Amino acid sequence: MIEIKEKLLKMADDLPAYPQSVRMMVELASDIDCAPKDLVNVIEHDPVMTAKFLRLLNSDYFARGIDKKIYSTNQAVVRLGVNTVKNIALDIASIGALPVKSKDGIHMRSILEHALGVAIVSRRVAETLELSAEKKAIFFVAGLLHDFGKLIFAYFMPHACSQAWYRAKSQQKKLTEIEHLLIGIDHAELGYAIAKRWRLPKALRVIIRDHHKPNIAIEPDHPQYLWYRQLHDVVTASNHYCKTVNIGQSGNPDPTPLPKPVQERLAEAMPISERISAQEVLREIHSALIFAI
Amino acid sequence: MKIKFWGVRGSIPAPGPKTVKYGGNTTCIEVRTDDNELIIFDGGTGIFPLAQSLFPELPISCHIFITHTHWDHIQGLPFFIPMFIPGNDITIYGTYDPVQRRSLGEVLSQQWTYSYYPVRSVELKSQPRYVTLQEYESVRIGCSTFVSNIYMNHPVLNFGYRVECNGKSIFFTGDHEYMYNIHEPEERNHDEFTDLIRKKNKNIKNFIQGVDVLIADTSYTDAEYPDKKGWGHGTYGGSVALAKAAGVKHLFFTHHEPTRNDEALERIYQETLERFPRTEGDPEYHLAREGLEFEL
Repeated sequence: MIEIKEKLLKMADDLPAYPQSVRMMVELASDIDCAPKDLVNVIEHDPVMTAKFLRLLNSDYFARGIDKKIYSTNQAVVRLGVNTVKNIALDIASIGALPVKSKDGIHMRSILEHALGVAIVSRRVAETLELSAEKKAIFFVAGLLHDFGKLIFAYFMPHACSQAWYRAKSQQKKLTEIEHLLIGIDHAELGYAIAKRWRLPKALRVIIRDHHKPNIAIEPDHPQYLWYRQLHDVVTASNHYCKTVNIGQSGNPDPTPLPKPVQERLAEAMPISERISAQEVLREIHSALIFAI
Repeated sequence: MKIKFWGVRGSIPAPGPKTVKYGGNTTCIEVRTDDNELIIFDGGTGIFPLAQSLFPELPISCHIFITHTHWDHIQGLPFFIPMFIPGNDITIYGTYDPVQRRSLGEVLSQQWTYSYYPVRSVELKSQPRYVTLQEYESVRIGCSTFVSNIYMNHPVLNFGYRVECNGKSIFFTGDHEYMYNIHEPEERNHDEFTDLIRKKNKNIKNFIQGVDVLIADTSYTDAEYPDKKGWGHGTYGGSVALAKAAGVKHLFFTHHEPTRNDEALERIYQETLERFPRTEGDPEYHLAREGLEFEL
């Protein structure tokens, strides 16, 4: 297991972005009059581009800034400037693009739609909370990246990934259980390991690791415990909602009920269906610039 | 501390009879500390005449702080003659290239390649040391001079540098455009971006707070700016606002547009003085020109 994990950690450096993002980024960057906000729109709707920007901006070189941790594409633009962001995005796009379907038939776009769905719903729920605009933006990113480990499996271990999805569905078992059986590590653990190696902010790492658990695996006396738990609860609930209304594909069969502690803590924001309908989620997903071509 | 301007032009050199007074060399500013340590901001074409002036002092020790690697700020570096003469101690500082993941030395070494220059960097008699700085990293020069930096806003990573020496201070913006919101007010990202640029602008203001001299990129008039939005440069109104907010004592307008002749510069400068009449506590406003010296 350790050997596979170590291999995947290194291979993750070469994970390409979604073809829609690559195409759109190249198109935008070829137009001297392109609107900077369109560049942001592309990057923030692609988990690979987003994660790679966060990796750069949370690296040793940039870590001395006033913003100790960088969470969002907007932060990247303010820190680096529009043109630098554009050029870095082009560099990411030059790696290549994810296939439309993995070698074993998983539609990569369905994984993206699920991630975007969870991001959009998480952001909508966050809007009910009394938080700054900067903090609310983190909910979107956390939702977008929560299943990052699945992308790694789908791209680098397509056969094992597709088998895991198939067996989870046919045996009605949790995907994480089957991933452990077949691969030796589940997508949450792998995603966490990558996020840690890439030095993504701890809040995001916790969500990636713990989004299938009823609570975060952090000591309650940790200074950021309540913040991390709030983020976890919203993303967990949003993830559950997107599965029940079939936004994209997550590889899990019928979802287990939302843990009671999460339901109780989020009582004021529930039910999510009253915050945002499935149609609205789909509309927002498809309004992203990456789906314009 | 003393300052001398050797190049105040932006983008491209602008020699000619109509720019004789303010000069056509691109950015280069000499700073001499109280202990006569030599600091140079940027290696635009102005570094060539600066280099000529150093001959009586050789061998020298100098610290060249590059704000950013756009051509007008580095094009003179291969003509910094002390590099060709043994015994000189030259350190060049600047930022990292996050796009191609290159150190400052790797970026600048491109200038010394076959297609661009007849001398290879290994042939230099005084090899410069290259130091890739992180933001807020402070460099000590001599016993009592410190140079620190902050990222400004420009289409390439650009450091603004602050020099402190015996209670006196200078800040040079390099190239900088006051940040604006790239999202429309009705758009989802607008509020987050507003908070972020408010924080960034406050950081910059705090970093500059109280300096004796602010040397600011002031390429455009406020009337010209709408057509130049996003080009990465400052305006007269913006530079004045920053200087006032940061409580600086002297503001120098620099990075003059290459198309602006002496007459036009002076007209704009006068208009600026009329637009922003000084009240108590306001900075004194100066139009930087080649050869101008100023003592703090």
